[in-house]
Amino acid sequence: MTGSTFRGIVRRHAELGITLIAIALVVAFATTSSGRWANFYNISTILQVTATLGLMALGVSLVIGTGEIDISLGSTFGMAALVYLWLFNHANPIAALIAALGVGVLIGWLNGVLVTRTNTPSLIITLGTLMIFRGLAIALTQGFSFSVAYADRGDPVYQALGGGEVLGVNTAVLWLVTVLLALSVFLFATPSGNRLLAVGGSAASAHSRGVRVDRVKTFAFVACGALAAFGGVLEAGKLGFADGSMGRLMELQAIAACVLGGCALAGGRVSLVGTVTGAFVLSSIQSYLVVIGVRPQWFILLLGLIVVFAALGDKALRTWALKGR
Amino acid sequence: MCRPQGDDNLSIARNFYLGREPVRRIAGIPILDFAKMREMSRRVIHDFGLRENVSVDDEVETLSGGERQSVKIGRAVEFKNRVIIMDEPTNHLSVREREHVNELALQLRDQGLLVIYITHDIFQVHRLADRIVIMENGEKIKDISTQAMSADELEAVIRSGGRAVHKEPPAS
Repeated sequence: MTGSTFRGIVRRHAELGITLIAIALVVAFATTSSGRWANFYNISTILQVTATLGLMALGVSLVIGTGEIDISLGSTFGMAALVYLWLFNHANPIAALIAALGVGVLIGWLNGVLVTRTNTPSLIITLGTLMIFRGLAIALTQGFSFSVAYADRGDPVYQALGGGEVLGVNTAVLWLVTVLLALSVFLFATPSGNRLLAVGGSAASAHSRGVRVDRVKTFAFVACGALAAFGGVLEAGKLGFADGSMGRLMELQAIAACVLGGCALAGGRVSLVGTVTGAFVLSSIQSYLVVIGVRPQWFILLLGLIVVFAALGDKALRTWALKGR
Repeated sequence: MCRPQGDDNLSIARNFYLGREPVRRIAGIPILDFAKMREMSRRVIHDFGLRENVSVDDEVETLSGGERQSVKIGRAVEFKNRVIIMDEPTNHLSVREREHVNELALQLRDQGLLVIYITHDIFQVHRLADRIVIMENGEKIKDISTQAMSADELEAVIRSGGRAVHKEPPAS
């Protein structure tokens, strides 16, 4: 009976695995870095990185939830950051935010429409838009970077959008928490969220029950684009500058965070808390490699290994949890 | 409606109402009425003979094929469908589960619903149906009340591909 209860917990809480990993890593990192990792400044930096990566990962988790994938979001992130900074200097902060989010919505909508109208695998479509918008970002900046003068960084909107701190924590972290709560309600407690998960479970079956599959998928892409753009805005606010390569390879980290967090790549199973925890684990590892003096290039290699093992481990855990039913 | 696959990842309560979710509005936002969803699903689990240890929070993928069909049939009843089309509802089911699904079909008929039961198994349907229609390539080749012909006779009609009835020898 205890065994089967535990199985039920594992079955219903996909984020269990990543939470255990996160706890183990935090303990390991804190005890092996003689205070260089576990101090307030470093943790607050990790949380800021977690916030922008986490927003992106939350977005892509919705797309993954419908059984599709979006690998274009690193470029969306970069485009939004550039648009935000340029308009911040040339117009006003609110217009810059709206335009940047608009860029994200537009790229997401383009992805969604192309995928659903043409029935083309989302991997191919978003690979295309990944390159298109990366190319555009590089072309727009022509090798230079956009930046905001220090004198202008006191603007309250700029401060609220990742450029400032509340109690020593970057405002991006507060946005992450807000978005996480809002998305949790949407995904798990509204009819639309229920349908999104159903589409990922079986699009044909959801369709037979009157769910508008194409619309649900397009919505997921749009939300993903908007969240990636928002992450880009917050990152631009933190750094104060952006160039054409902003957000490169972040799409892979975001997808890795989802997989680590217990989202099934086949769709239908999404853990938002797990996804954010996944983002936290990835930024913690990155930071740990920096403080112990490992060249950060090793991060990608390590990331790959972690993803493979996490995928295998998750599958094993899942198989075990479904056994004996 | 009766393909054995489904939105297996959703819990029974969520799956049951998929597409017609009951909601309560909180500040204008439609929030799923979990109490109602669970209550109804619990009743279906009980009324339609699912295992005792099945919970409304279990994913549909943990159910057996017959139990999934039961949930689907329960849904048709709950939504007060007047016509239920069961397309090969007993495929991939064990013998006992097949009996259970067939019993449910009879219960639905007795409740006054119209059940259209599509199957290849003429002997099975002969025990269930009031009226039998044999189709071939989209054409109706036999439409008869069950008492009028035995299962063996019906099988002969199917074997001959309807020729016995349809293509009568040309008049000499």
